[in-house]
Formats: sequence, C-alpha cells, structure tokens
Amino acid sequence: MNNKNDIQKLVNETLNSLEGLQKAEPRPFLFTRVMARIKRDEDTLWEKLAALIAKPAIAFATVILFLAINAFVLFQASGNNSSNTQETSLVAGNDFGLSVSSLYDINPEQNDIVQK
Amino acid sequence: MDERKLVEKLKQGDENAFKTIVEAWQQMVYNTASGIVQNAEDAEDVTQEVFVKVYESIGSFKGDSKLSTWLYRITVTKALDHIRKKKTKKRFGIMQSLFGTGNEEAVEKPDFYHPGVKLDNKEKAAVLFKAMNHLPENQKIAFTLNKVEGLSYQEISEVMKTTVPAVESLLHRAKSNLRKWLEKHYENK
Repeated sequence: MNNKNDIQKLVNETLNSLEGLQKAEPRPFLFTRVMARIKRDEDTLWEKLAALIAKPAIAFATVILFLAINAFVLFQASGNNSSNTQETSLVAGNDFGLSVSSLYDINPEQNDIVQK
Repeated sequence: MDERKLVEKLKQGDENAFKTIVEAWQQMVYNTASGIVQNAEDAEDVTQEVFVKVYESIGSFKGDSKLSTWLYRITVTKALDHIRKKKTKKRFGIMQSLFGTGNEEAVEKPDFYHPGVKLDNKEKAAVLFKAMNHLPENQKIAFTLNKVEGLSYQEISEVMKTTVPAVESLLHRAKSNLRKWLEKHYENK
C-alpha cells in the first residue's frame, strides 16, 4: 500500500514537474543563420534547374520537341498553300469558261431535243 | 510596429520587417519545437525551417488569424515532419542492419533535459518528456502547447483548428495516458 501511495506521489510530482518552466532560448544570431539558409536554398534551386537542363536526355528531348513543333508548323503551312492553289485554279477556270462543271454543259443540243 | 504593417512590409520583401519578426518570435518557435522534438539541435533546425517557411509563404498569410497562431501551426507541422523523417531514417537503418549492410548501432534516444526546468524537477521532467513521446500526436501537441508553451485552451484550439471542448478532451486523455505510462515506469524501477 505504501509502495502504491509512493508511486502515485511520484507520478503526480512528475506530471507537475513542468510547473514554473522557463522558455528555452535559441542560440544567438538566429536571424543570420536563417538568412544564410534562405540564400543557400535559392542557390540550390537554380543549381538544380541548371543541372536538370544540362542532362543529355533532357537536352535531347528538348531539341526533338523543338524540331517536331517546327515540322508540324511547316506541314500545316504547306497544307494551307495547296488547298489555296486548288481554289485559285477553280476560280480561274470558271472565269475563262475552261472548267466543266456539269453533264448538261457538255452536250447542250441533246438537252434541247429531250425538252421538245 | 503594428503586426499588420509588419506583415505588409514583409510581403514587399522588407528584410528589416523579417528580422523584427524573427527576433520577436524566435523564442516562442524554439521553445515549442524543443517540447515536441526534444533535442536542442533538432529544435534549432526546425526553428530555422519555420522562419524560412514564413519568408517564402508570407504571401499566403491572409491575416484571418493572428501571426503567432500561424507561426505555431507552422512550428507544429515542421516539428512533426522532423520526427517522422527521423523515424523513417531509423527504420531504414534497422533494415540495413538486419541484412548486414550497415555498421550503425541502434542508438536509443537520450533523455531530454529542457533547459528551462527548475533544478529540483530536472529528473522527473526528463521522465515526463519520455512519457510524452508515447502519446498520440494530437494529445502530445495539445499537452506541449499547454504545459511547455503555457497556452490557454482557447489559444490551443485556434492553433489546432478545433474547439475548446475538443482540446479539453485531448488534454484529459493525454494526462490519463501519461499517468498510466508513469505508473508502469515507476513500478518497474
């Protein structure tokens, strides 16, 4: 019983051992260390970015992507040009009576006979 | 300087404003971190991380809570992250030793002697801090903020984004769990 009481007393004292606690202080010049860390993190970020771009795989992939985009743009541009050419020749043909647009135009006399 | 003006200046990148914030709150951040990570070096590390985070994220501080509340939240988060990272490293070390690839010995965490504890209470406080490490996270945070930082239930509820009754419940359960652990500890001595 005494032992149990002793233990309870010890437990209570332990639970109250932080009474009157003074707050812990950091080492002096914390601000200087924080600023140094911020600067270090900024430099590290740029270094990491440069290292990433310099990797052969990344550089190669970037070049391929660049070429692919250029090829796509060129292909699109040439496609537009050929469709423009077709339209132009159609218009020219119509203006000068050079194009045949329907069967009726080929044999106009036969059409007259049918109608009679 | 008014807290709002200080925050505005820091958002504009004013280094003097940042220095004022660091000097005003470094003790609060360090003391809270100490109570959670229970190691002076780790607490210093966490403190630096907190202020770096403040510097980088001040733009996201909307001012809907006090600056101190925001600082407490960042401190608690960073301290818990620190503990988790250490546990992961320790687990990895154990795995290495199991497979015979590491030479590191398993090192038991030394007792933590908070520098601000009264001399008469130093040994008992070290036992209490040991017991606190066995609490669930939320209970440990609430207990630390109350006993180490001296925050009220209202202040703790703001930091933990919960209600005052929830904080009361956390602290009640924390004390109950601590009592059980301490009884076992002293019975086995």
